[in-house]
Amino acid sequence: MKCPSQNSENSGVLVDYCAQKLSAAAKIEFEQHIATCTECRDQVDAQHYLWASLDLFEAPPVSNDFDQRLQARMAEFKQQPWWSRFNWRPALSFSAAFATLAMVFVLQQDPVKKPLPAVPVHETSKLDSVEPEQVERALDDIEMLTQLSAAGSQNL
Amino acid sequence: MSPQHFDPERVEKDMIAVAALERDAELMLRVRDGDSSSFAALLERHRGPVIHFLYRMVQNQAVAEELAQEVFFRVYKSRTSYEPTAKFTTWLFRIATHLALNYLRDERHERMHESIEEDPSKEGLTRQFSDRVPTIEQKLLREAKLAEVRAAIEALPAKQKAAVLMHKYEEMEYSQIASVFECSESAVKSLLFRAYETLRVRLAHMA
Repeated sequence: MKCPSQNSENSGVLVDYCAQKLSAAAKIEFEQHIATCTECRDQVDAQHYLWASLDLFEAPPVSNDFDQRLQARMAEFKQQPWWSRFNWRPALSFSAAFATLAMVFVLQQDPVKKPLPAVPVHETSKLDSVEPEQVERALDDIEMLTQLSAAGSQNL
Repeated sequence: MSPQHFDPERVEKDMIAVAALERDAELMLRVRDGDSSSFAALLERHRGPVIHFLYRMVQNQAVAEELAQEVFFRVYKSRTSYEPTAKFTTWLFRIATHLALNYLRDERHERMHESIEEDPSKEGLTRQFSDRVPTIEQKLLREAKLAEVRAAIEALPAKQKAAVLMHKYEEMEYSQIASVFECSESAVKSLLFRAYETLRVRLAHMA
């Protein structure tokens, strides 16, 4: 046989041997092998020791009220109305995902180019025309600013 | 070497296992049809192994029982959709493993640890051992060894830990563990080999 210590494909034999899961024939073959292979024998000893050590880790007994607690939870579940028994989380996630996709789809669509609403003629004339008083007032302001800046430079 | 040779002892063992699996499926089908006594029978058969597995995974009895409650509650909730396509125990341990891995991954478990009082199971173990060992020295040595074993198991990566616990304590076949993890048998063998190798190295100083 291929030596399990040297061959990774055969490494499970060692574990199976210690777990007493090898068939009778395989067990005999492996025992013949470890009679001559020191490395495998050491590994078997280590695995046997590990196996015995793991047996120390016992689980404590189950609480006496375990079944009662479970039955109480099941009874509570049975009394709930059908809609609260239903697991809404996947449905909500699905709905949210669907809504997001729908929104993305809608936003990606080319908006239909609607013609801009025509601006009424009387409004455009309002925008284009400038009252004479406004021009006059602006010219007065410019003149005043010029005088002020000239006065300021003389004082300096 | 072929481990597939005819072995009457093994065949008998397999036949008992097949009968047990058929019984589980039969009980679960009855639960599906509304028979609550069948659920009690299933609970009776699997309560121990599931809680023990979870206890060794999370190393806290109160948390293990809470997780086990969730496992059986999920089984009960999904009874109406049950189909005997997979082994019942595989399904059960898949739920248990999933919950345990989530619990271990979840950082909140530390807070839960703090809120749950001192694990009485540790005390129980001490008592169990003290009944068997006559001297204080032997008792202390055993407790020290147990602490080392627990620490070594706890230090394993979560998936390796689950594989070792199913293989060693629940005596599950490679194929069944593979079904629980939804991976190949060779992946399970490699996972187990690495885990046992790590444990052998970590616990070598105790020999």
